Amino acid sequence: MSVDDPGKDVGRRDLLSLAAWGAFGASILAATIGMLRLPKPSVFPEPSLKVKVGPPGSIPELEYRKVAGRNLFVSRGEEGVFAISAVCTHLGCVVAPVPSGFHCPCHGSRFDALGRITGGPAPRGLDWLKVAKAPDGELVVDEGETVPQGTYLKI
Amino acid sequence: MGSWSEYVANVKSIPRAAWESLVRHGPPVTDRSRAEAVFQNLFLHIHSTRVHRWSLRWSYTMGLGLICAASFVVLTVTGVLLMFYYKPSMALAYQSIKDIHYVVPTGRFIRNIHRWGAHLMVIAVILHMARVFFTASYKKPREMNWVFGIVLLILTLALSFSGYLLPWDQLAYWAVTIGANIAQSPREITDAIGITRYLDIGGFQKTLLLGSRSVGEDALIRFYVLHVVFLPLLMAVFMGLHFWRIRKDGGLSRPADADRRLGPEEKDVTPVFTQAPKKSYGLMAVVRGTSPNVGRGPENTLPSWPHLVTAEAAVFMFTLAVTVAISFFLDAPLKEMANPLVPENPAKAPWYFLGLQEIVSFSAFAGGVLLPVVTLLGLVLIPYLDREPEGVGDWFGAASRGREVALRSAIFGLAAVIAVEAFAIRFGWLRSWYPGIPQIVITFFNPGTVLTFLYMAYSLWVIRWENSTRLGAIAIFTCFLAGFIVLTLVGTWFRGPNWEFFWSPSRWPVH
Amino acid sequence: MKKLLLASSLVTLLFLVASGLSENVFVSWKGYQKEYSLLLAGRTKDPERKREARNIPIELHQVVVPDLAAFDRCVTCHRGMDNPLMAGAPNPFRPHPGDILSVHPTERFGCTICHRGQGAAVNFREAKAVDSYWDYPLLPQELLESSCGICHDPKAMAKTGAPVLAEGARLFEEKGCHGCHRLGGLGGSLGAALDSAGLRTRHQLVMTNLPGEKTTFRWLDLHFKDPQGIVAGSLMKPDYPTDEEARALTVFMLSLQADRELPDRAMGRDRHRLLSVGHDHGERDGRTLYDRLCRVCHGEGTLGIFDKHLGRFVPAIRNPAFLASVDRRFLRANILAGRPGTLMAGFEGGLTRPDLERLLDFLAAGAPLPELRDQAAAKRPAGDARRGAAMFARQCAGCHDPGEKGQVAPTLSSRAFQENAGDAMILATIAGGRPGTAMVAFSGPGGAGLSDAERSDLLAHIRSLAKRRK
Repeated sequence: MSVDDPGKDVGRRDLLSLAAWGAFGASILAATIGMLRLPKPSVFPEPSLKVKVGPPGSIPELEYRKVAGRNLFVSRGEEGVFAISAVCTHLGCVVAPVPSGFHCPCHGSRFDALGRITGGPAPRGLDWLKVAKAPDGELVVDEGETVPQGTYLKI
Repeated sequence: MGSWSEYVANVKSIPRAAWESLVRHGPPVTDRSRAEAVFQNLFLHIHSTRVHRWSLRWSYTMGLGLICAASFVVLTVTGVLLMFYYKPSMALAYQSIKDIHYVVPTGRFIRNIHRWGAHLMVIAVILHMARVFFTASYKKPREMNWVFGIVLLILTLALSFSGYLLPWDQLAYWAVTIGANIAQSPREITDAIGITRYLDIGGFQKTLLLGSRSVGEDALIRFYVLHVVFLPLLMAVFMGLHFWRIRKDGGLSRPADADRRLGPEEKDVTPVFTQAPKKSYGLMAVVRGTSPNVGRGPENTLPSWPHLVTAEAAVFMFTLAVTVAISFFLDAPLKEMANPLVPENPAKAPWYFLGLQEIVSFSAFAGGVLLPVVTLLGLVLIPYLDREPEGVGDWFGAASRGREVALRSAIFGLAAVIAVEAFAIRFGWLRSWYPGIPQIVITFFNPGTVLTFLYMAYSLWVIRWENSTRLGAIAIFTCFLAGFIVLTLVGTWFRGPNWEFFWSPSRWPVH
Repeated sequence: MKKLLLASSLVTLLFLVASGLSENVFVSWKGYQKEYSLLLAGRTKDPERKREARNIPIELHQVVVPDLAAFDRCVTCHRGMDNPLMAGAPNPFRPHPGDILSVHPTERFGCTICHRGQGAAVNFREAKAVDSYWDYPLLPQELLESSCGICHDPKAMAKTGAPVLAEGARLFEEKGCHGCHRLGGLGGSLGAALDSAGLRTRHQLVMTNLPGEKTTFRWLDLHFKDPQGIVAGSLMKPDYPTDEEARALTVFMLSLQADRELPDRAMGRDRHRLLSVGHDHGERDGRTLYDRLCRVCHGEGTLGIFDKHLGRFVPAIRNPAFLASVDRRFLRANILAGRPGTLMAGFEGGLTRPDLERLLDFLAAGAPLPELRDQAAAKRPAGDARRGAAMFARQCAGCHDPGEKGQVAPTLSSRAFQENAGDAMILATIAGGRPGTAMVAFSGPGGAGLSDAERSDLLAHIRSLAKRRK
């Protein structure tokens, strides 16, 4: 008889073993799931992405106003108010306004005055951001929500 | 085409092949494959392949060492998780703990586990030490492992204390302020001799600990680094040494006649290695103590897989169960944000230092430096002072008078500490009678040193009277344990604002 | 062993699941958000908006204002705060009352700067933070105006939103609180300086005698109504204010937060001026100074008063007889350094030099008050200090208790007295007494009949006290 003989079963896996190790595995799994939830914050430490930009009358016509402390421009055209993100769609640099529109200093992406792509490596035009009217009458730009180019808020 | 079908077959058998390349032994149902399950696994091969039945006895180890190790694992995992959100700076630390408490997913629960797990570990470490002592497991050849154990005790306390500051709340700030000034207390001596200007050990220690004059930004960073890197690494190294020595010293201690007393073998035990093993393990011949005997008859060992591994998993889960149960019901304490202008009253150290704080209330040097050093030194020296080989592996040494001496010592230890404490609380101490008395007198003559003297004298008397160093060791260890417990209880429950005596915290004056 | 493994694994699993549930399912803020979403849907007409309202994601919200260190999660439950549609809805859904948010938008100021409380908390009990480990619990609505005073001049706000605060500031001056408490660089030193009284935590106040919730604002309110009932042995005079007055004073106290560091952008222009020129801008005349600083103890100052509360005579400092026995230098020194042995504490640092001179002018109105009394009268044979000592023990020590702290009368050995009371002044006072105090006239008609020589002996003894002090 060899010790390698599988027929000689020294400790048959009984039901208790199975239940015990099963419960062990289950609780380790539960703990792991709980721990994996931890790194994703439930609330972000930055100030809110929604920013009030003043009443409609304060938005300049046919020129851009940089919103203080934020990387976005607001303006008013004939169709209404709109907001354009100043964050380049290529790799997240901040574009600078130039007479022809916007230039990105990092990799040379160029955009026209309405944020459409005209050159450089950027995959698409600058994001247009959602503008809404707050219940108190002020306009609110939501940096977290983009809208299709050419979406205006009628006033 | 043949190679194509081979390819398809290979793809199909990837899981099986991958498993076989990971686990090289067969199902762990035979002696041989069970042994392989242990020694072919990086994490399991710290065990010997077979474990003596005595080591698996519940009533012998109570799983205390494993509880310590399990707590350390739990603390490491939860600690790393907390580091994702904790910000070690004066301005942000407290806010980040509040965030962990309120909005971090599972944050509150994990912090609770970390806090209560730390307390549990301190308790387990102290109990484990008591177990090892009362079963005389420190004796040859395990002297050095006992010393490593003392180092682990110190590291555990240091880890717990360094973590105490991190929440940056009132509790933390004032406990650490006290701790830092205890580190400075050698000045009591150097001031008395008048050499502080030339040799300021106390000032050096405090500066080393805080990196500044008072508890502030630098102290916080130092405690953080100590808590999350330096001390855990040391701890891991010494734990490795501790475990390694267990195997090198021949496994857990057991009485010489363990085989006889265990009686007939269990059904699960079958003759091992009835023929010569396929490989020879030369190392086994080098290992001291009773190791699996190659090519010999039956003996009282069981395969580590599954017996020891199951036991370890059970103790680990037991530890986790207790910790999560406490953590579910009780939130970890968090007081107001640290405010250097508003001292906590009473400002208390963590509970395991409250016995010392009781003595610190007479002399910072005696309670904070002198007695701890004397105690630790005594603990380290025990295996070298008591070398009687009898009684190893049995609680109190079953055949001797150990149990009786332990009981008498406990009574003496309790009586002495209660008497001294009651006297000091009722009548005060030297300073209350002679306000002008130099501090140096109190440093060396206070309830703490008086107790130490009484305990030492009692133990020496036991050695002479019973003519046994082992009984003397039992006497002094039991006395110190009794003293530690009573002083800790007094410091925890019976001391209120201004460190005055109260029968219960509900009688504290409201501030 | 396997049974233990099974049992502990199951217990662990149980608590892990229970903790997951209690964190994710049974939380109050989720319930509030669901309720808000339903309420809003019910109040919306437009079907598109209705659907939007029903599908508002349930998530934590917070207002982050870095320069005010505010992470306020109040908005997690107070969802309808800036939504007029929610008018009339129950709390926590209704809009913020008043138009204060148009001037102080939540995004720029957060919530806790005005309301206090624990902004980090996500349930109401801990946000309110009464009787929990948090220094500044939620302010009750009736005390909210105090927060205006953090950035604005209280007195300027009588008509602009904070009438109670302005009233508190007025009462503080009217009731003579400056007499003992320094605030904005003006006031005495007998009581605590109050520049940051609003920042005190409950651990800095004696809470032993405060019934009920131990909050600083309840302490203040009850303390104004019954100082000795809250702080045993307090010297503060019970003023028996009405409920409204006590509330106004409490609001004013809570508004005092000079030590708080705030960004410039948050501070009102009036507040900047306030910090640079002190709490009362502009010049103060002697009458005003007297009313603010002296009246609370000395009354009108023309008659001596036996103050029952303080248990002692308070000298009539505007009485011509008093003014005739002192000189300007003596008064000035006593006001600045106080009178050791009495409750008169010094105003050094709490009174500018021009203000002090104006106050002296006011005291001296109607009576000549020379800078220094004529010393000629003192040029007489020196007295015998030993005889004087015996007489002093008999006649004077009862009140003046030499060497130790006098309980009722000034300590004559003090530097303030010895350096500033001229010989002539001392002799005149012994002879004529201090009308309206326990100091009677020891010579002349109705006096105890001390001769000039005996008075000289006393003077010699009194002067020798200065040496003994050293």
